[in-house]
Amino acid sequence: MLNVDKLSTDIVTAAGVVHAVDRVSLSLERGEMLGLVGESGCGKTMLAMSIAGLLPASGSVVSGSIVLNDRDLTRLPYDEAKRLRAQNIGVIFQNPTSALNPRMSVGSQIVEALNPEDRTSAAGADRKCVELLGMVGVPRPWDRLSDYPHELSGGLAQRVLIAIALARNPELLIADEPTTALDVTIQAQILDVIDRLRSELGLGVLLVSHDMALVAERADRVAVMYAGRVAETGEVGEVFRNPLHRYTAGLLDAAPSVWSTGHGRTRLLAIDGTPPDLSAPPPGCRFAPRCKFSESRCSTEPEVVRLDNGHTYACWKPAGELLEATSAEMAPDVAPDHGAPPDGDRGQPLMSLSEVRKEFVISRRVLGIGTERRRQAVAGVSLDILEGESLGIVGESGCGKSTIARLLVGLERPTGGTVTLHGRKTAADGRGEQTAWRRTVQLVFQDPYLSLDPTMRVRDSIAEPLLYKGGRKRAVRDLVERLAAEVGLAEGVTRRRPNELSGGQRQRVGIARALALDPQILVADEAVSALDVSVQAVILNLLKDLQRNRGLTYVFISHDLGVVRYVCDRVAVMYLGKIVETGPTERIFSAPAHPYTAALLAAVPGNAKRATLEGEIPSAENPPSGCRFRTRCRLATEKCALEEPVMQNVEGDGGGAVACHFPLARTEGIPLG
Amino acid sequence: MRFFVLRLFTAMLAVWGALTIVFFALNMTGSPVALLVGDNATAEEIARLTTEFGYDRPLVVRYVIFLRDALTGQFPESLQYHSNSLDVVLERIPATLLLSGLGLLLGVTVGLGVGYLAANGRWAWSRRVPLAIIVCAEAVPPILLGVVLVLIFSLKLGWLPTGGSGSWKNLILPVTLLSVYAAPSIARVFRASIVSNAHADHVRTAEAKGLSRRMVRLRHIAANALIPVINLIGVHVGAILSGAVVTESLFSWPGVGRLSVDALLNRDYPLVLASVCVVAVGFVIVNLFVDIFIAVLDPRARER
Repeated sequence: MLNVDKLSTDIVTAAGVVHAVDRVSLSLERGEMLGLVGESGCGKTMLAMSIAGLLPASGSVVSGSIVLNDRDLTRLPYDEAKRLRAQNIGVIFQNPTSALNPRMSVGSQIVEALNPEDRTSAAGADRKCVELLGMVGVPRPWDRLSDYPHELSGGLAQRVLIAIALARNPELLIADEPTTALDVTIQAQILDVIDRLRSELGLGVLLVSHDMALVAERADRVAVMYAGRVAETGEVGEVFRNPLHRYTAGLLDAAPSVWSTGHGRTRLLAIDGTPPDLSAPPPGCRFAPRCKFSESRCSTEPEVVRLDNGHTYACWKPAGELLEATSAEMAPDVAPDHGAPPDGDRGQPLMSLSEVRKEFVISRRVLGIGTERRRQAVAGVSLDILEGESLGIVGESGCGKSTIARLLVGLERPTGGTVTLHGRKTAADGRGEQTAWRRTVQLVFQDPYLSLDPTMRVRDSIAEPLLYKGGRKRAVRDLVERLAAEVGLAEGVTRRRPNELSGGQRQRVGIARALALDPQILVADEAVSALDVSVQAVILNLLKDLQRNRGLTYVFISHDLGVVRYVCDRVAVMYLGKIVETGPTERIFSAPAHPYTAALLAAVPGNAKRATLEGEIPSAENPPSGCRFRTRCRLATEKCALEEPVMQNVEGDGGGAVACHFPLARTEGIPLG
Repeated sequence: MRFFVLRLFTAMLAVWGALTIVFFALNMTGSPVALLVGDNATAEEIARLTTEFGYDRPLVVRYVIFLRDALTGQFPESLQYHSNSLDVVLERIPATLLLSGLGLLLGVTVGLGVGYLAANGRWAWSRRVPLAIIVCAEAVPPILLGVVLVLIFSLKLGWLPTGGSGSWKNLILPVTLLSVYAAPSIARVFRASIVSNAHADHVRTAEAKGLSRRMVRLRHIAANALIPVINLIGVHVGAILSGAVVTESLFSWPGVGRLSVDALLNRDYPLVLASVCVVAVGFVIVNLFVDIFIAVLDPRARER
């Protein structure tokens, strides 16, 4: 159906012409899903947008062909190509809520996309919209037509976008990171919808994603892109089991997996450096400058080798059988890990939350008009943070995990309950105490770019807290240089401003800034979520090194369960403002006791017992009575609605605690699907 | 509905605030009686007038009386016209509405047109020249611009009257002058808003639907870009109302602006108070409409 042949796309920038896509060939049949993976800046999105005809104004296809059903889109007149694309290609994007026009109702935005014959009457158009919304699994579609995008959750907005993409009954769906901005449970729901449409409508799907596990689970074939070129393609199982290109192998090694058990013992094998500048790509193999296995041959362009099973790759020194050697290189941590803390009985906790609540007032009554609305972000959380441990906090967005982070560092004050540090209450104390608290507990932000002042040189950003503390200029400068070296920032980098740094460098700066006051606890709120897997691996390794060298305690908040499993000793699972389960990482991941924990794990791509948690997290304004998870739990009974479960210890080795009336036995496993 | 009720309430609060400020500001300048009677009045004369106008009473009492007057529309008699000051002002309202209404209309039309052109014009000159011209016009002080217009079109060319009212010809110069208060900034804000909206994610979705370029520009870019412009128009109503004072005086237009200047010059204190009240209320009402209009255009604004 779709045949892309030697396609090249250039983007004209002030700095020169960027060859974003360079002689890429691929094909896609109806009903097939092709995954397109690679780091950011490798041209995946530009390739997808070239096919969809949605390149930015500065970009254009310069050579090659895009043949859709025997017609070459690159050679057709503009209007004709546009019409053909509108008829045959549907596109969905990364940020579903911003991809809808905030000014227009859902219904009117779908109507726009309909074929003219479907829009002859308003009633007929509405019926068609409802049919489309029903097809993508939107509950009560009639009510949704008059909704506006800001009233929709991310998952619902993405369904609406899929409905829009399907409005003209296309043959090809281009999905550019369709679930990256969504929770893992919602991600599974959206991918289920796409899977179903694929088989029901015979849609061909081009899935652009940075998530290897997701592609491995859902796609039929995969193309790995690096620096504007396809490095390797083939059947998904074949490529991921037996990666031949060193880049593919590197990416697979860099991602911490939820399903690997070697937690804590090994370092992640990071790929150093960043993808090359595509305005002047390196000669020969473009991955060679970052490749641990490069040799002299690699400076000439490798040929594309095609195996019998359709697996193709372009590498002079393919991994293949050598892969075992790679695995063997996974160096064990120099020192044994900081002792497993399973029994959790290690004296006084460093910091603890006791029955902490945090409410936000959404709207107040004015002159007796309207109703007061409150959102309970955190609804009674008790949690101990032990010295030297890494505590993970996981849960869907809206569960209150970021509010916990802000409470821990003192950016928010609890509405009720107490936060204690070193056994002393922290709330409402004198200024000096507040300052001491902030020095002890520091935050690493999710987006290092947005959390650094763009006008300040990064060394000044790092120095700022030290100067407040009253450090002498000379001493501060030396300390900043030492910190920069400690987090692996090369000399000279600290003189730059944030926009001149790569994502990985920025996060190193964020970590150096947090370390400047020599804190005991680092609270990392989605600290690696915005990074590519290769960079993420580097930062995770760095965090582990820092913990060992400085004896830091981490509170690691992440939606990425693989990262949590890799970093954390202990995990707390949150749902709608409450902790539903805590326990040592290994126990939580191998034998979850709360149905919600089990469901979260089941939603992670790559789980053999794949099952999708239905529905979305309820509003924190009116949480369900009794057990808050009962509305989505398949085990729920009347008791769950009436009685709120209390935390009880989990039997057996590992231990931990769970708040559930019917905790899962070790053998039961996942109750869904 | 909740939005509307709340907004109405805040509008009333704003009117009250405006009236209060006007009252205290005018009383801050001392008893108007001294101004009223002139320099060679006797002490008895001043005392008599002070009692007559009630200026011997405490400020708070006068404030309450003033509020009562404002609510019932029973302002004291104008010293020049010898009738209810409010009636005198209301009589002049239509003329001012006509002038500033047309001025605003022209200003908004030209501003939106030039702004759209500056963002989407086909050629470089069409994107730059019109915007440059009206921004230059903005840089000239309005009173100077008004005098220059009169010099050229009335005195030199003799096409248009220098002032007065009665014919459509009398309107052209003052309306043009008033439109200069609004058009340039509307053009700049609209252009900037279009440019930033053009990069919004939802525009790409609209393009992916296969909509025509024109449709994408009008419905998904320009219409969304209007939201900050409408806020700005609300601000400009104030500028145009104050501009009306200059313009009406310059072109001898019989509106509220000229009336209030005359009232100030003639020390007609009750008339000043009445005209300022009317203008303040008018300004609040216009902003109420602007907010309602924005709520119609932007669903997110309804929930704030």
